Amino acid sequence: MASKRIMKELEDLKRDPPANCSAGPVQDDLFHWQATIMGPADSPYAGARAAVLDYPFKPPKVAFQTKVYHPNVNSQGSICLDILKDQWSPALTISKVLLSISSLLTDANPDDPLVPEIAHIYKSDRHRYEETAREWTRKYAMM
Amino acid sequence: MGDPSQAAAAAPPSPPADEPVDAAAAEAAAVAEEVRAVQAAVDADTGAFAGERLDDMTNIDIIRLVTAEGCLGAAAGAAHAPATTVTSLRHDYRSYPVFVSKIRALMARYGGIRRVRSDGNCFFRATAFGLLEWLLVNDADAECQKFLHTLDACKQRMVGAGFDPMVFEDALDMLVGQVNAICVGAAVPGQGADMGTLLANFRDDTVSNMIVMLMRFVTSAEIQARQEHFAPFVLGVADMDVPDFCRRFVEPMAEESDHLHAQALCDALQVPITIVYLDSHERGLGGAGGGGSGGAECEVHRFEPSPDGAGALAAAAGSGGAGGAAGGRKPSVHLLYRPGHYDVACCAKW
Repeated sequence: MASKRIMKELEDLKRDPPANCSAGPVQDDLFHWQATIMGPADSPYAGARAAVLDYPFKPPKVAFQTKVYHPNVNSQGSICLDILKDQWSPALTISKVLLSISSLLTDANPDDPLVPEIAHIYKSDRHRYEETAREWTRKYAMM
Repeated sequence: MGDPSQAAAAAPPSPPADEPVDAAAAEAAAVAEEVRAVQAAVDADTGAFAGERLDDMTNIDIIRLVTAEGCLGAAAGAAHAPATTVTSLRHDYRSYPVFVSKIRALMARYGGIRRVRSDGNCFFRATAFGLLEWLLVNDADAECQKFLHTLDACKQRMVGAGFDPMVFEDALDMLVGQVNAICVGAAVPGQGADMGTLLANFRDDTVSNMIVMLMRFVTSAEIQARQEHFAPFVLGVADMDVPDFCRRFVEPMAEESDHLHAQALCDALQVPITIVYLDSHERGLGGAGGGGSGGAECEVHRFEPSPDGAGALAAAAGSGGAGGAAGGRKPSVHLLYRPGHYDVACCAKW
């Protein structure tokens, strides 16, 4: 039953993929997805995994697999994003989640950081932050 | 109403009175006796239903306040109901005379209650079940058709509120399917629905949760379609605008419901929702019931559908709207509210 909606979403993603994102099931397993998400040119981008188990009643569990230098992403790849937690609504879709993550990559939320040190650099020395983020992207994500 | 009755009700719970009034003592003794009887019945039940613990129950289960004959309409109902008895409800409250007294009053009004899983979705689950049960038990084709039109109007509201059809289509199709099956009736095996089908659907996690989700969307869409009306109520609950409120406190599963949700869903579905409060307030209901025999009664709050609700527009627009007005009984939903939780009260006797 729930997988019916996931299939619809998948078709929709294929037909009309959101900007800067691509996603699909891992080896035809509808409940585990692989996604590539990027900010606009030159900003960090990364590969992520999503488990859509009790979906859509609960949010998809999304984590980056590649290291991302970002105030709202920790070294385990966990993402601090409201709609993935208490602000999830079953009216949201995987496509909207990807878009939100993509915009978080571009516009960090340093006031609610998961990694305070990175947030501090983000606020005090934006140039250095962006350099490091790009370096991490080159090092860990682009292959 | 009467001050004297309130005073009388308010007095007993305070410290062990120095000079107990005879009437109060008699009432206390009666309650104590009832508490003992309840305890005995619970002990008996525990034996009879050894395999059925509350923890094992899923979304909707049945507790019979009295033998629920006529409540479910058919033996089929009983067969599908892993029935515990009312004593389990009273058992929860056996140490609280006010509750015991209120439950006694409740038994005069309702044939039974159906216990609904306590997971923050109980209001929506209970309301949806109560409505479908009404349609099933009353065998009201015209009301089924009317409800299908209402669902269509709700769909328009959801689209209007910006819901991606992808997120509600499956749930809506499923609910429409269930209503159609109810309409076909149990006489057509394989197609029609009976009480067993309905209970099975609501005990199935996915099916039941999809209906809850749909009810949440319908409520959200109703609130957003009539923002001017609902905005002041939203402000009373949270400092945010209406769409944010809906995204945050209406649509997500497990977010608990308030009067606002109840009124909006009642408006959208055009079905009155009666909520009976089983709580510790010791106020007698006064006029409604009868003899001032000192027993506390449950307070009752009835939500009446607004003529601006989605379903009302459907009825107005539908050319076959006459069907609904054909003078028959109208669907209504009765819920039993205990602080923090709703159950379905069924077989209203009033």
